[in-house]
Amino acid sequence: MYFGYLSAAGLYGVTLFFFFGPGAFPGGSILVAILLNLLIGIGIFGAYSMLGSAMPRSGADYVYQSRLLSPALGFTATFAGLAFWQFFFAFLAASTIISGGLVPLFSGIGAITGTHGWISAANWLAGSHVSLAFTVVFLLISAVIMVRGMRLYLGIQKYFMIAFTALAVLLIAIGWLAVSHSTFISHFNKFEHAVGGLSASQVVGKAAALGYHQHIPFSWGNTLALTALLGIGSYLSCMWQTELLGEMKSARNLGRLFASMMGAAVMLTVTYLVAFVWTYAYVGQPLMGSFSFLAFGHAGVLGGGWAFRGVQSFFLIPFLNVFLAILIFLGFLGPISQSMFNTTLASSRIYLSQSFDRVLPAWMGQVNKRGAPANAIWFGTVISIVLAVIFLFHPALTEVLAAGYMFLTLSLIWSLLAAIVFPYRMKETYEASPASRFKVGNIPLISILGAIGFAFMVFTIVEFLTQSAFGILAGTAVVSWVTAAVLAVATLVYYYVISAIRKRAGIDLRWAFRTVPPE
Amino acid sequence: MPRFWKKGERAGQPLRIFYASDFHGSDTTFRKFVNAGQFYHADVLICGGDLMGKTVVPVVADGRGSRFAYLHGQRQEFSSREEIASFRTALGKSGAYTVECEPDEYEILSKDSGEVEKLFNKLAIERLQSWIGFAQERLTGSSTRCFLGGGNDDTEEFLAQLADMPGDNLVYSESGVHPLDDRHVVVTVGYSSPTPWNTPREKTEEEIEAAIAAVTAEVPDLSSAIFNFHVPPIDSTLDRCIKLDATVWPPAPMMDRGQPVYFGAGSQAVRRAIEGMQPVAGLHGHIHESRGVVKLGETMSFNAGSEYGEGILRGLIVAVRDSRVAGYQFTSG
Repeated sequence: MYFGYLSAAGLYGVTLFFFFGPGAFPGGSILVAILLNLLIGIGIFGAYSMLGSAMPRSGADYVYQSRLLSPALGFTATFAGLAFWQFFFAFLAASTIISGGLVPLFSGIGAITGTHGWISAANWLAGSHVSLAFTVVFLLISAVIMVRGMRLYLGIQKYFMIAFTALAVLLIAIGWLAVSHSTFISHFNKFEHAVGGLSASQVVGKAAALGYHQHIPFSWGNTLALTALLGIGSYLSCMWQTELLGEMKSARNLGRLFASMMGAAVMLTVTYLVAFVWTYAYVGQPLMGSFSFLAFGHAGVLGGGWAFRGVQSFFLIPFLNVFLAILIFLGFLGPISQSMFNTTLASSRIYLSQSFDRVLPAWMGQVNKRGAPANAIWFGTVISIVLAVIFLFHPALTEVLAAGYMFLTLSLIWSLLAAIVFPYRMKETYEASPASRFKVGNIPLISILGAIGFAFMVFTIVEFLTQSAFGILAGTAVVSWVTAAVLAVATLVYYYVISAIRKRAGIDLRWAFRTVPPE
Repeated sequence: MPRFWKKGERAGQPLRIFYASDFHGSDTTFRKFVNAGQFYHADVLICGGDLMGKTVVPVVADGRGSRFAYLHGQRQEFSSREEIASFRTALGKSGAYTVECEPDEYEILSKDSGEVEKLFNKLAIERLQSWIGFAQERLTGSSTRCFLGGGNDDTEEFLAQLADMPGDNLVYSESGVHPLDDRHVVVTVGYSSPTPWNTPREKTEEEIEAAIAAVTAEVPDLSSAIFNFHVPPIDSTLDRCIKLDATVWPPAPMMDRGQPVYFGAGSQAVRRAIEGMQPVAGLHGHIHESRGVVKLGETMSFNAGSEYGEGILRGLIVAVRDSRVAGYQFTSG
């Protein structure tokens, strides 16, 4: 549950969504999107937990897709479409510790103490070469932690990440209750002045001048688009834990599996709601709407280096207190760094599973004495570091992030399709699983839930392909498409080449995906 | 079209072995194991032991025409023969033995653990005999041979049933050396090192070492041998499991800061034997959750794992050619 909550980047995801969502989809209701997201999540998490309790294996998405749809599709979709893109997010998370965590903290301390040295330090940290060096260090530290086994990592998660995230949510709520709106505006202006940004009234004025309307009529289309935007992050994150099912003692327990995913989603919804109230009842619609409008379409106008300073600053502003700023930073650090862990953890388990099936080389599936697939973890870390270096020299490639989200979503679609066909394609395994107890009339519930999730994810892909705000339609997106296409074709070709090689050694790769009949 | 491999390397079909272990009474798993020969085109089937189940569930008459049973502490009621049959079949799939009994018989079983043990052994042997019948029916007339060895959970009385199996396809391999083809042999030792469960065929490391020495002494060329040793080599990653506290009954998982403590539960003697004798491959079971492969020197050692409780057959195909592992594949289904 914590894994999923933190994976959804908790506070950080919230702020990204709140600050950029309304600007990207004017007229969309955040509140309705939050509630719809939770509702659809019931279907998706239900389908996933039923699949998980029936086949509690490491590399779950790969297992479902390869067994229930097609081995070649399962391998391609999860290797090229899921695991690879996760390394992008590992690198992104590591660099966000700096841009979204340390830089706002240093800026905040500078603004609070009036010491320009802190702001200079923030600007120095935000420099690409310095940022790269720290990114690499963070990636290496996270790899060492993961290679040392789940026990150490879970300890860090439980006693540091979750504890401080909860504290940060509490502080945000206290800030909202204890610090008046006028004080917030005064602190906002003080902070902005220190970092060279616009004051609150200037933000509102500039946005209005650039065409922002305070009262945009409600739009169902943009509300659904917001739901899709929110869903990508939260569904993927809450389900990332399924890639580690092979290591969970209670993975066969359908109720516990569903509760852990749904629990993460509920925690996330509560965080969203706290932040929603904070944003619109406390900061106020005029400032937030204007800020979001500028942040999404005219970031340069905002000044103050918002492009790299990160939205954590907003939560430091009510207090403008060094000690509380550090606590809020620590609260953000957990969710931000979790993405660095979960993406590599999940990918390494997918590789482990693919290695067990002999599709990937045996060395990739080797586990150390602590039970960690060390080679797969280091493999992923090296790719993340290479990506970090590439993006240092070609920052425009950050638009590949949009493609990353889309291909992650696409790989989720295949698993939901697998859920729909599960009772019919693997009848015996289905009958033996807890999922078989649940039917609506004669239709297996897993097929219904899978269909709900599948339909929503197809809608999300359509949004990706039709809404420019999702980023994949940008003029430079050709890099994303080419990267994705090359990866997919290369992966598919690799699958058939390795099948031929194994056949020469007396092994038919397809055996890994078939079930022996008992009769 | 250019060739990307050496011409002629393909000469000679490999010996294809299907290995699985730890069925623990599961009807479905054993049937799948026997059928795996034809399904995976295997030349030989090797079972790594632990055929015997772990529990017996009485289905008791309630005196009013219905029956009941306790499963995982929960009372289940049956009002028809179909319901009883369905319950017994489901439990048979997962490895449990069932017996229909009257209230007075149930009363005796509730009070006398000796009676439970006698009943358990009787049911285990009955199921084993039905398995032998099934395997004989399926394999007779085929070229597939099936080697059945013991594990630490199998009693000697139980294993004795395997000694006189009919036909040429079924071979009792425990503590012996058997040819697989004209070059390779399988060497079987089914003992395990001590466990917190105090199972029937646990031995000290010295005893396991002696058993291995005795049986390998019969092998003329160890480099062509395949070791079918139930317990995996210690600290090999094939033996990683949760450490149990043996001071309480039943043994409970040991925890440290809220997390289970893992350790290597394999055998020193097995590790020494593999590292010293360097057979073609080591086939192991025992630790159900530690499925995997590891190289000890030049020897590839495998643990096929087990998921018998769900009726899932976890297995391993090993293709052996010229005293080398040419390829392998884990299977599950």
